[in-house]
Amino acid sequence: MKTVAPAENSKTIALAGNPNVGKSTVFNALTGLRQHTGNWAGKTVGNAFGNYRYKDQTYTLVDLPGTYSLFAHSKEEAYAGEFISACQSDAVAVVCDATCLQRSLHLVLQIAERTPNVLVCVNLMDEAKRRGIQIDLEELSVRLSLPVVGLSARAGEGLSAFRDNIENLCRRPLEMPFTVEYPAPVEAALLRLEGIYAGFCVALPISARALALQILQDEQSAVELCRKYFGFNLFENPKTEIAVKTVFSELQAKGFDKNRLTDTFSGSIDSVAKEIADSVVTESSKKRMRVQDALDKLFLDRKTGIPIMLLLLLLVFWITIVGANYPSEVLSALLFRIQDYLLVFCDKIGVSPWLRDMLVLGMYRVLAWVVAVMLPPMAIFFPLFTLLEDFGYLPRVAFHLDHRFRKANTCGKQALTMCMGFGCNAVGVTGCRIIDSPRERLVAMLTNSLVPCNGRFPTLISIITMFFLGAASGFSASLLSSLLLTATILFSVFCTFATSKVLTETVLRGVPSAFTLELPPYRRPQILKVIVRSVLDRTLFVLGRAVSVAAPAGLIIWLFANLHIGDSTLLQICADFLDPFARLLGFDGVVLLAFILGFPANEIVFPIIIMAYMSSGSILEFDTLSELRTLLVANGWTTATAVSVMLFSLLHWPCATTLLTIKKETKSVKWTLVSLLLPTALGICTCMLFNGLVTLVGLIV
Amino acid sequence: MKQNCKRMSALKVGETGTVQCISEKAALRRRLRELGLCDGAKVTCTLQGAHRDIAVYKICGAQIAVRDCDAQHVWVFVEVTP
Repeated sequence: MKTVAPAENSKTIALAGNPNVGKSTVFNALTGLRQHTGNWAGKTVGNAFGNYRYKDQTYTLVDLPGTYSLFAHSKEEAYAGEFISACQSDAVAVVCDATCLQRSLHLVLQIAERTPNVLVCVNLMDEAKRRGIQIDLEELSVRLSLPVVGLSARAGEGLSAFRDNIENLCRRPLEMPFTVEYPAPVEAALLRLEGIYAGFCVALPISARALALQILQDEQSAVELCRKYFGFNLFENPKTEIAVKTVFSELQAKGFDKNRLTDTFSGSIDSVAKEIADSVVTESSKKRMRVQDALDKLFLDRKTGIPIMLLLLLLVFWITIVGANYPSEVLSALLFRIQDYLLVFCDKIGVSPWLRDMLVLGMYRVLAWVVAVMLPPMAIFFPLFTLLEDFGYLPRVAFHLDHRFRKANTCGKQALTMCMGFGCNAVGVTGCRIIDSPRERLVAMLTNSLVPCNGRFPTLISIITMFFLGAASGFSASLLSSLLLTATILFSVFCTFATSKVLTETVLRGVPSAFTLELPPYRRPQILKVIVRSVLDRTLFVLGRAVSVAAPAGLIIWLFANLHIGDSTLLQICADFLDPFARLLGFDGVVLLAFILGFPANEIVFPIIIMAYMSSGSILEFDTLSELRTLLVANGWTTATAVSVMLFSLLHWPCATTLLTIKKETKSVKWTLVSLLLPTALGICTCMLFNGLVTLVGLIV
Repeated sequence: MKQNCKRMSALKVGETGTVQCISEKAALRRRLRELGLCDGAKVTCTLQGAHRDIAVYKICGAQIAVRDCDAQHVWVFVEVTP
């Protein structure tokens, strides 16, 4: 995600709205940035900033996480609610869904009660038109007393009207905030509170009525808001506190306890939203919905839904494996030819042999392996995954997996964060903000690294291809590889369920929280855009990170392999030290050393193993997987070793980036340590168990 | 035409009801309302999960998946033809 710092003297415009209404698409269209978009609720989990210029004025757009209301149910909704309630922007553009206007109006009304400068942007007008929904935007503007623009942000329509209206709002701010009329006792209480805080609010961006509403709707969040954004204690003066308590007591005496107050506020806003929506929306056809319904019947049906989900997973892996083979071989041949040229070039310019070997056979060779082995699968898997995301399929996966997560006393949304983990575990951990319950959020964070990230897929694919295909070739080989990889992924998903269950039955005990999940409409993915975005933003980013780690790792490995202490190299000494423990896990000390050195990024584990074996002198040149297999077999690898390495690749400590993200999200050293130890302990136990079984079978046979 | 009051979780696939009230604690009630389940709103059950413990409902034009244990707190009127 690329965002920029807010420009000086710029006008700040907040982009708010329900989840999955196209806020990030509007943001990208106006700023030219590439904030991640996707067809599901909850992608944006932090504020993103971007600038655009219009008529000699710079505007800083703040892309807020989607929220259904200003009252947070989850961590990411709290960001949006606080930002708007504290009036941190010059104007708020509320992006609404034209296909579901009534629900969007709920948030519009809440925001309009708090800040006067509101622009209502009705997005997805093209989709509404296709569904036979017409919206009278002029009437909507009259009913709300607010400017309204129609947008089709994906097609770039309506953006100039957006810029014009924002400019007008910033130049001539609206004076009267919109007000919803509440029952008489509530209105009387609001008036009393407005009187109490009128003096305070003169110097603040928040109006007295907005503060009064905040206090009545959620007293605790009002206290926090004033402390955090305005630097004053709401109840600093004991008299004020008593006056506020009196207002609450009087309301209670009239039958308005906290629950009824909540109902009254949301009920009143619902009524107004429904009345306005009824007067501006007309629906004439249900044609489009029939296609959507038919797709949902296919993808969510009891009989077809889960088989289709598994087939899609298999298809994605099959395309990744088949598609990655050829470019991987070409890249490998090219990069190792360059290695030969580099060696010759170094000799020609008189570089000393030890420096030449360190740079070329150390740093360059590991880099070449990372690029040749890692890049092709990543460049294919990421776009395929993004296409499914854009199509709107990911929430359907969460729907299917909810039953299992419920059995594990957690939330179905964990399936979404798990899917994000397939791309990058650190992103998956950040994505856990969409989970409302702190307990369930923590479970999701602790178990996210149990699913393999994109950095681990190429290792798994290479091992499967080298050790489990036997005599299979062509289509049958690729199909078998895909089946084995799918089985491996299903095993990691099973581990996620099992670990979540153990956690929720022991240290994180609790009942599952309420689960509601919006299933977005299916949308045709923008194929070209997805490919370009995935390759530029995600693949190259992950690869860049791997390369930046691989170069120093290659150097370390070369030094380890060439620095002698007595008769042994440092690499041998380290590997020998780790060897007894590694043997219990079913592999050797070199593999365990590679996993340890691969802590900064999983992508470099396999190249380090190759580098270490190559530096030990077993084989020096190869460019196909069969030659690589020869190298591994020469170093004692068997099919059982391959399984053990795959198991440990699935179940070991998260990479450094993921751990730092967990520390940032949990703000706890204890839980960060748990997230490190939990998968490691699971991996050690699983590998030992497997190795024990293999040894037992070997003894019997 | 008679009206029959039942829990939203008891709606059959294809059956439509009108929300009468939500009998859960305030936080969930508010969330369900924000999703469009306000009094008088039409809700149609469109799909059932494989284990019948979650269902998809069409609410305000959107498809929302709600677990049965949550949907049972929403009471709806269903028109019954004699």
